[in-house]
Amino acid sequence: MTLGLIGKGLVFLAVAAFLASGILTLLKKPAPGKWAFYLGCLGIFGAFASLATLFATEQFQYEYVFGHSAKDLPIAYRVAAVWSGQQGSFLLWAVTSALFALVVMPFTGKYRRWFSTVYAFFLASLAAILAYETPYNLIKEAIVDKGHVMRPPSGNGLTPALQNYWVIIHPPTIFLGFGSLTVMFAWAIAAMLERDGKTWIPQVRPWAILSSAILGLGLCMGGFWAYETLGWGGFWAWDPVENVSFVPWIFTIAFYHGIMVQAARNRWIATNLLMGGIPFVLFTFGTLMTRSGLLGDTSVHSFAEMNRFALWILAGILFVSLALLFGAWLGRGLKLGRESAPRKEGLDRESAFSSGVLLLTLTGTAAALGMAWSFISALVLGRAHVIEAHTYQVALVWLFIPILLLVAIAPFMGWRKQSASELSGRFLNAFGLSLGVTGLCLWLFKSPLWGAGTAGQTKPSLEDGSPVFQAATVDLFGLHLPPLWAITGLVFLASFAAFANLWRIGEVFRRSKMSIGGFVSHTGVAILMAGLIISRGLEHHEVAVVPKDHPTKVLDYELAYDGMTKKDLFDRDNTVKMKMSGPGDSYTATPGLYYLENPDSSDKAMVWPHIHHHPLYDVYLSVGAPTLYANEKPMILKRGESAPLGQANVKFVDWHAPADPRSADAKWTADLVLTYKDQSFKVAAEMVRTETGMSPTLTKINNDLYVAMLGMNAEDGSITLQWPLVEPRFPVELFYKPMTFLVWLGAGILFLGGTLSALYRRNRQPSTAKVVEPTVEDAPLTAA
Amino acid sequence: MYVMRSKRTGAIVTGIVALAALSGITVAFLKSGSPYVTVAEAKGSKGDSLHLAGSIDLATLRDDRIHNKLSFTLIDRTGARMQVVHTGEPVNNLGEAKQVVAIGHVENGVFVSEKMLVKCPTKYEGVDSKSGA
Repeated sequence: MTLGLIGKGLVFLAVAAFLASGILTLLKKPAPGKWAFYLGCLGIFGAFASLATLFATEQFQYEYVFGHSAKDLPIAYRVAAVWSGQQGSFLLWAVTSALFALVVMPFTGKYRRWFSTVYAFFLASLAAILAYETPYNLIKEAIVDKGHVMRPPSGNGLTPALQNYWVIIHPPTIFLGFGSLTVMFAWAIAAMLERDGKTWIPQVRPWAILSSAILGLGLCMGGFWAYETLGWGGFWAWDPVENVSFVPWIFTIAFYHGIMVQAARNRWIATNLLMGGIPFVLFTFGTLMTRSGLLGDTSVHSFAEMNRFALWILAGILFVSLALLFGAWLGRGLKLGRESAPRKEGLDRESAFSSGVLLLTLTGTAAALGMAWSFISALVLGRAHVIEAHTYQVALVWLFIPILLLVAIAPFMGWRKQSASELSGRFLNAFGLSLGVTGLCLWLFKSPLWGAGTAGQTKPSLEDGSPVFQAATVDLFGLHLPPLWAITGLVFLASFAAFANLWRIGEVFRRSKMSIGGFVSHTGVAILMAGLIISRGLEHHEVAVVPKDHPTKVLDYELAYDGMTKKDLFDRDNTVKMKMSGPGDSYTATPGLYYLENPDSSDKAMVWPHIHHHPLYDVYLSVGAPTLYANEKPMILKRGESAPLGQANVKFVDWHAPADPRSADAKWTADLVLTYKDQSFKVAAEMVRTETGMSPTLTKINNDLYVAMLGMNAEDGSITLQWPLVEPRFPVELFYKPMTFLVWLGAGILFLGGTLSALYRRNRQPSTAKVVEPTVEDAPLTAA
Repeated sequence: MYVMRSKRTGAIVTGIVALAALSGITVAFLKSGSPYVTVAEAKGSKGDSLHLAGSIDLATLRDDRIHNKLSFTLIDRTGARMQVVHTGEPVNNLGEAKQVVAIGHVENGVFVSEKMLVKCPTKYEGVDSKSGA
């Protein structure tokens, strides 16, 4: 009770403190402004801590805790439940934004006043949203006894589909990325209001890199989570909610490349002032769209409706930041841009950067358009339309191809002018190397050895585009190219990009070990793309049924059921043991399968896939709830009636009552005729009297099936039949995804590269002192 | 003078390329955007890739993998009900799904779906959250 009040109070404290800080800083009273800012941050962190404590101590009388946690939930999930709801995720956004403010502010130098002002007003608004959209409300119907609120024994629990380790690490990471967007926005605005579009560039540089690295890591984590969850459609689905994080990430990368041009050439001053603010504005726009219900049902992520006042504040943040950014840019930014140095003509690194930034901006704009499409189409066409993943892939592949080409070629372009032949001479080695690797891939794809475990019935015949191939490729590409060419072409581009950057790492590493970050990131992107292309393009998939005692061949694996790991099938940790033997390897897969008690109808099965990570491929297996009966519901038949049973047909002919129904072993028999494929045979279903009452006997029909008579109705002469299977049958889904490890490897390298760059470019002189622009990265280029 | 002109030409060419790319993408989106429909709209629609979103009436859920039969009654946000028969790839964990999107067409008053999206229950609210301050 008190803790909730404290939390609420801390949110109000944060609103007041941030407002005071903003006003004080604006009035050029930096010292009290600073302390008010710290107080506000303390309020936000305190509010978060008190909510986390409510969860940790199981205070189910709070609506939010009740809705997202339960008594037996492991402590890690109880903490993660803090951000599993709408209110908690806004709180997380506030916490990460405040954290970034505290860390970055000392490095803002001459921009500190405006930076703090913008930041303080933003955090005040975010805290105000939390004041309305509060997680500290008590359940309204709570039982109050002598002034004490009775605590419900348990809560609704965290949605089972979310109970996975990713819910613990993915949201904090991606929200840390979202928090970092405010840094760039506030800095860009401060630079324009301070009328200095140059000094901020080396200052903001490491934070922009860090921001893109964290966001990228968060995006990849989300992709891995989706990959490990059934039914979420692989790594990436181009869902509006996914795009809300993808769009700012792409624009942050574009901004970072703009920074590099300004740092080296003193150009693009106005462009960078605008680009610094765009990721934040687009993220706020996306958040408003996804949280407001404007997207309606068109996202596969569902969000609860937001409090109206909170929504208006969020809309206010968007409109004010949009107006501020464009107002300042038109009023000041463009003017500051006149200080840019003139363009030097010719093929040089700047031309590569312009093309790259243009392509990234187009990609980001296309994704933003898709993200907002349901909203736009509802306004323009009168009905919400949604853009499907396939359309994104078809449209964006035209941007990804030149981007990958640029990623391959640009590292060889120096800041000084080069001739085309000079340039091509430099990347010829990497080009040749990637041609060789592509040839090797082609040979591998065609080899019967490829996909150690899946040779056999689904081995793709690449020439004719077997169904497996056709489907995978159309889904991936939408081009009417032969599948093999499409995949090989993309693999070539990705390997060219990877080898080119690896080559440059080799060249640069000798001179400056720390300056390889950019090339490392590019290598990561290329490897990631290669992994996505191969694992999706060459994926094999089969749906089958495995009887309990009869090992069954699926793809080229033999699947043999080997029991469950828990006796209690309602235990969340229960898994099915399935022995997998393939030509390549043998192991026991343990996909999750457990039941949820369901008051509405029969208990529902929850399944989690098992992913076997082999160095060269992933085998992804899910096992559904076993089927015990050949019929779905008990079959009720009157004399002379028939009913279908799978592909067979059952007819109830007649029944025989015992001579003395009261005798100890009285037996009732129903004569049935089973017809299957024009063959009919007689079957007798029986029921006997035992000491405890009437009981059905199991009559074996064949190796697959029993019949049991569950009951008789003397009034209408009907009988109730059940058809148990001799062995329960497990429905299974098996996927074979080659080279998935490249996706993980690429994501890891991408983050490593970002971290390296951020460290390399970190600003060691946090003050107004003039910063000498480091050009170490460029030196070897001009020297080479 | 030459530099000035080439600079302007470059900017114009860049602008045209960017504009063309964006209009291409917009046209692609316009052509392929699939409409989200309510039950009432679905019944009057002849379209192919209709998106029908709603919740599952669990009492009507038939999820029989062995016979590959999946059907249920869907309740859309207006409360209207419609029978959905799924013919595509199997869908997992439907019993737990709060919201699904069935993608398909209408045949004899039944929604025949070829693809089904299970809504990720991110930020799913277990209790009513419209409480405000």
